[in-house]
Amino acid sequence: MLKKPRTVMLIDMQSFYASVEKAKVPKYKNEPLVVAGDPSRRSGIILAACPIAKSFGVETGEVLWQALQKCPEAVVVQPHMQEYIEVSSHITQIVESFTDLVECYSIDEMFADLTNSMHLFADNAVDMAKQIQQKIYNETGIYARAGIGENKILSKLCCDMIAKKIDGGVYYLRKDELSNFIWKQPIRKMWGIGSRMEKHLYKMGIITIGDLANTPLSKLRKKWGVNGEVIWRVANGLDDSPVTLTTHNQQREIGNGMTLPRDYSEARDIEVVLLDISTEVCRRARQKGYHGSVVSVGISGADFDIRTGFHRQMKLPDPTNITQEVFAIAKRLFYQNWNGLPVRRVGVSLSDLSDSNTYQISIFENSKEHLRAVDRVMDEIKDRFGEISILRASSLTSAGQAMDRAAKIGGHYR
Amino acid sequence: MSKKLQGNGIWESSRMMLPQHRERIIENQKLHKKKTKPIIHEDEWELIFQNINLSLSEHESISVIIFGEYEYSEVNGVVTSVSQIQRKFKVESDCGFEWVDFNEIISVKVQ
Repeated sequence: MLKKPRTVMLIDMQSFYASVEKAKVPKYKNEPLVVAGDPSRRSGIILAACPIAKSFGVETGEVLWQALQKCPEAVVVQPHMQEYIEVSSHITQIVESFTDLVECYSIDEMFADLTNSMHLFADNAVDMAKQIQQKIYNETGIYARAGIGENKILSKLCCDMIAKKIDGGVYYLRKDELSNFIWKQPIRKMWGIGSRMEKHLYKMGIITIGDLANTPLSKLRKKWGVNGEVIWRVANGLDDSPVTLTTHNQQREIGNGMTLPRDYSEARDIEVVLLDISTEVCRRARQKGYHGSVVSVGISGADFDIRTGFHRQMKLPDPTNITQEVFAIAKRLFYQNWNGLPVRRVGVSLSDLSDSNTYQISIFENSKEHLRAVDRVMDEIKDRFGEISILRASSLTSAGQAMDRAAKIGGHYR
Repeated sequence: MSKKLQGNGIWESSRMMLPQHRERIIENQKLHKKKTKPIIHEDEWELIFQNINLSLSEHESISVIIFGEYEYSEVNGVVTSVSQIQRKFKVESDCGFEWVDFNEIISVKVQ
């Protein structure tokens, strides 16, 4: 039996953070507005710029003062991450009133599978997308764009490369139009191609997306393995992944990473950060009833041009979520692999998760129960009185990050 | 074959999700499963009372389905006492006893 072709839509919010701020304060409607992190720290970059600010040449990711040189009259707003999450989930609920198959891809993008509910709302996908777009605008004041295609890759390519660029912001990309609209574009424009990949591809004589699509798969596989096949599939618009609801349910890894406010070069300062992050990771694992048997540590060096740093992991004999144990492993990995150069970013994660309700009691280590009790008491105090009501003394040193992190989501203020 | 090329792998390996956002999504999905309490027909009430009575007098083992916002739960055992004032009854089993409110019952069946 021939399978009915699917209709998948990727909905993307225009300058999401900036649009939320503008919707909140209507008097900024016709003014350039940027959302930027704390300028006194490294997060002082442009997180989002509204279309008016962008017309002055302001780009996402640049440093605040640079943006202000281009556009001195810009309104600068601090991020409110919790609000963005609320608005995002409100939008998800709006889309869910059109189809039950909605999958969030990031805070401002979501996939929706319209195949089986379209007949209830419209005759064609573009009409339905317009209805969704209108409803999102009416309820939140945010302008959404929608790329539609018969699979997720096509909808993503369509949204990024066509829908965002045209008036109306909705486009349906048929698969046979791929060669007309997408293949002529430079390779860098394609989803999943960064500046490094671009350079490598240039060396192979691949300049446009069409060149990539027509490169034999075996050649790409030999060079990059799985990732080679991924970019080849994207270029050819091949994708059979479903729009799933359960994709966020299963947790494979609990991890946290952070960019430090300044470069740390003293080992004991980095140790403090490792402990803060381990504490956070273990607390989250305990809250969710998991313990993990693989601890991994990632460190990036201060110089972004010459990349230094490492990402190493270690398998433990018994799974754990005890802060002190995870910290001890993280510390060991750090000392084994650190080259002594200043550090910009630190991350710790716990994976290979399993249910923490059952665990093997060790004959040799009798301090485990004591450490568990310490964690339990700290958790209880934090639950009742807040995340910073009890801290390890090291967190209060100048290197400590626990206080700062408790006030933030994704490195920016709630 | 690698996970990246199977199922939803290509998207799961590339997406950027804040943990707080993920938690919010899961919370939202839970809302879809929220149930409202069904209205129980008089005939069904009669059956429920009959079975409770039977269990109380004959020590028949019964299974009680109890309403929950997200999930129904089940209690099995023998009814050992009924309090008409407090509108609840006591179900005893090998592992202890439980008081069940009449308001929370969905059904009572003899096992």
